[in-house]
Amino acid sequence: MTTVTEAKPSQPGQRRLLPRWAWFYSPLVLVASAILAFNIFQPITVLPRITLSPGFALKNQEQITITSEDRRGQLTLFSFSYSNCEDCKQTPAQIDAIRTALRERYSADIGLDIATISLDPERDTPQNLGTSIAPSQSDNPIGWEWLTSESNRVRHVVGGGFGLFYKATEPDGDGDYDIRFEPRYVLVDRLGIMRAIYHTATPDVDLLERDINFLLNEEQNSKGVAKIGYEAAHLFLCYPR
Amino acid sequence: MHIDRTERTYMIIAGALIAVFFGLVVVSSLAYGIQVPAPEARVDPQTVATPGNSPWGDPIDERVRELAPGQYEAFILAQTWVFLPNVIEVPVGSTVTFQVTSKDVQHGFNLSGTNINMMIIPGQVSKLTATFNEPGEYAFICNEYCGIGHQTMFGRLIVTDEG
Repeated sequence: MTTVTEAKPSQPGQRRLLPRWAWFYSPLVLVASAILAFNIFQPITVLPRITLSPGFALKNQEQITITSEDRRGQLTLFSFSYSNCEDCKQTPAQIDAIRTALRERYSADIGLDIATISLDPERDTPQNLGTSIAPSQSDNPIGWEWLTSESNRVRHVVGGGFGLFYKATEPDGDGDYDIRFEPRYVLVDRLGIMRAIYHTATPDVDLLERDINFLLNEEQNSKGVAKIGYEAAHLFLCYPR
Repeated sequence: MHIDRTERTYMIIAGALIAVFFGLVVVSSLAYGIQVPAPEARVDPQTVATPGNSPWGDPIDERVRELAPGQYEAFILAQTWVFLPNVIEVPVGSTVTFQVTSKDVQHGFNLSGTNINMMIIPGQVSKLTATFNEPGEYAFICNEYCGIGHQTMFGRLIVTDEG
């Protein structure tokens, strides 16, 4: 006995939910929409990866050689000044204020240090810095040290690496001179990448805290699948405003 | 809607190609960390040329600065219809970072012999870097029509042999 299956006649008026080609393209449209939505709403905010910070080997006020490799694994806030600077006499007090404020805001050690590179290495030798710079807040986990070296080496690091132009003025009758420069702070992450540049002599602690939090969040959360989201945030320039 | 079989085949191939290339762009961007060019900084075009406000307000002969041996930065102000400075001189082997902005209308900055080609928008700073290993003269021109004197807007980068 033969079974014959009759094909069901198509019923007039019955239509597919979507034509076949629409099913084919719908994943593409969904992905494109998701990317567009990510770009518009920016659910993740990151600090830009500006560029690699320069490699260096400079001496601190204790005459210990500090290299850029030593800084790996630490957040570093670089500043630029010199000990004879008349216009920036407040720098040590300002940096101490930053250290105090950040210590109050972070209960744990976040691995942040401040490094001030001298723009006047002729006079700011490690020995001179060691005697003229009073140690402060030795109990503060946020350390601060001065860095100096030979003039040419400092110029390569500061000018060539951090892009900061500085120039000595003509010496007066006593041989004294000043250094012309634009005050600047640079926040460098644990991988040695510059993440924020502050064109100011007095950085806003709230702004610093906000940016440090962005870095800490990225370090903590950018793992596994979430890493793709963070990389997408870099790709689509999801930067703080 | 009836679509001819051949036409539909070509539509599917075209769509698939778009999907493949779109995927390649996304994957390679993530893999190589490629980022969309963004303005380097923002300035107020009304005050950018005011002395003391920005490097573009400095005397013209101080707008090309040696950051370190062999490394220079050039702050070039584009305005109708001139670049300031319009003559730059650096020794051979130098790396020059051009930071260009406009104080009036949209301009362009195209430096011959290099891959520097930037749109200059008032209020934004465009920044690119090039290394000059060959001595000679490199012309830079405005390649965005900016008004009746557009064709006069050019300058020269002179790379001297004294490196």
